[in-house]
Amino acid sequence: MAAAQKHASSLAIQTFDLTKTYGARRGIHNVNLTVARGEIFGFLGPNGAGKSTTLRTLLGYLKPTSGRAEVLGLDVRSHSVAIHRRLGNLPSEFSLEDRMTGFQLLRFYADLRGSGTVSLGRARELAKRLDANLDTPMRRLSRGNKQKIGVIQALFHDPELIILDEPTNGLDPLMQGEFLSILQEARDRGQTVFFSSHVLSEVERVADRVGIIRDGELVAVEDPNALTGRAYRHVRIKFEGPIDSSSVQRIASLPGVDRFEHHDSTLTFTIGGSMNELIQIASQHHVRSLDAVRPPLDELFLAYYGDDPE
Amino acid sequence: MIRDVREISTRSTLLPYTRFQYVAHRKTAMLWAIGLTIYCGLIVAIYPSVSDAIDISLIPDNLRAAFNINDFTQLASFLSSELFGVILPLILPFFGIIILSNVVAGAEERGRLDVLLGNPIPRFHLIVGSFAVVATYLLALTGIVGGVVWLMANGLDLDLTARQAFRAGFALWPLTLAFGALSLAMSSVVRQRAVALGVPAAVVFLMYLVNVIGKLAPTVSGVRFASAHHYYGSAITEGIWWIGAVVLVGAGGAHVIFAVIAFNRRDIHA
Repeated sequence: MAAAQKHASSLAIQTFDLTKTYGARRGIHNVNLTVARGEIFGFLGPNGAGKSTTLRTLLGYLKPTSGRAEVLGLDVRSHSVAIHRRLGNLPSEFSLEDRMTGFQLLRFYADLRGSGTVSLGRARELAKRLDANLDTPMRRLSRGNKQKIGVIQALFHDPELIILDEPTNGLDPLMQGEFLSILQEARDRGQTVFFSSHVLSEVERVADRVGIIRDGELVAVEDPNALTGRAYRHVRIKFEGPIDSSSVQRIASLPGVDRFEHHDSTLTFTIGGSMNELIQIASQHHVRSLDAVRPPLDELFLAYYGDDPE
Repeated sequence: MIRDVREISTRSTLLPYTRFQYVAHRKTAMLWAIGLTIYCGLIVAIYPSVSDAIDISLIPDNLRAAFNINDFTQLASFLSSELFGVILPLILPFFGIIILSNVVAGAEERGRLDVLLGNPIPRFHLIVGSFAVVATYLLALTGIVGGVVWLMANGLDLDLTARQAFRAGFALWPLTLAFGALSLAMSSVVRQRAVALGVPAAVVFLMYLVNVIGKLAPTVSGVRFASAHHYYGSAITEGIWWIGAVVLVGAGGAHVIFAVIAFNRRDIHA
């Protein structure tokens, strides 16, 4: 019993067969998920997989059709306000009061939280790091700048748990990097981060664990290194001229090479694992161009988990 | 411990939210105040030129009864049939309807609810706070209506007491509040702001029509009890009908309670 309580208190999020359906439309089905306190948990899935539905159910915005969920040890339906006092939330699609500046809005949120001037100081600090403009009315801000305000409102009161739905939407690559660093620092301070994404690279960069959702079902919870270890790339190599057939055969027979095609001086294929040998062979010829692109998440999921999640 | 946190939250968020709403709708209220001042002032100002121009004996009796047309030689009677009998009961409810249709359906539609409810604010604070703001602004607007009418009448040396002017203004408050509460209830149930706005707007006109038809046709006069405008009465000439006012405030309160329950139960979509 004591062990069970200790286990429960070490969890920031726990769901029990959590299900949410929207009539005939799919939602999420029997999701059993645990997120430990002090970890960054990436929630990965293609668009429409059920990421937002899961997050919105955890936030108490959606009532579960069946099953239940606990956040910070509290039931999400009956203790919604107490939970929100201790968490920060960034929705995927949101808008803010057009006529107000970011700072006016943050002051309002600080009033609601009773977090006072300390949190507003933290907001200024975050704004500086994200190059966010807190003193211009929302209606004059670009999508990316509004997203920064959204990020700040989720973080400025240093919550125990940070829930973010596609947080890097609209941020430029430089700011994405800074934002991910902020998340890592939050984790180092003991805060828990649960964030959804459909971008594998940002999840693998910061997440301690990755949950993968597809068609409303949690198909795997993995170490991000294991996920990326299995990742493959679409490769296209164009040489200055035709290359000898033995080199072509050597590349085709490399470990992890699949879907190999050879047309004139161009090779296209997928490769998983290390590209070291490939580069060594290719470098023996005059390479005009080499493209190595990660496949879209939908394709990756189909390759990893097939049509049947089991 | 958890209970403490919830209690603190309940106490501490209603005031900031309500204050925020006051500021957010201040400009709208000021524009309404300016518009009402100009319109009410004009109606009183044109009275001397129409008081002798219209022969009300030419108007059929039941039509006169339907629109409270009794005696245009008296300003109070003229205002009862025109400003306080038709225009304001049809127009002023829109102040509350427009604002309160936004509280849930409008905010959800525009994606504002997600961020707001990400804060530790109980859902019922949104309902109660917004309604309180609209109720206060409406009280001020109805007071302005009474004040402008009385000042203009005095300025033009017309026969109208302050008591008559202000009770006519304040009698609008329960009526407009009831329609605002209907809009709030709709907003808590439906997902489209257009519906939360459109249905109460249609109800305003429909109820007005029902009240007029009930006055025109004595055989169906019972239908008037289904109209909010029946309970509004004719305060400028007959004084405030307190029972009617209580019915309207009660209906408004019932709609607010319904809105709280409906909002607590509903899903909030992105």
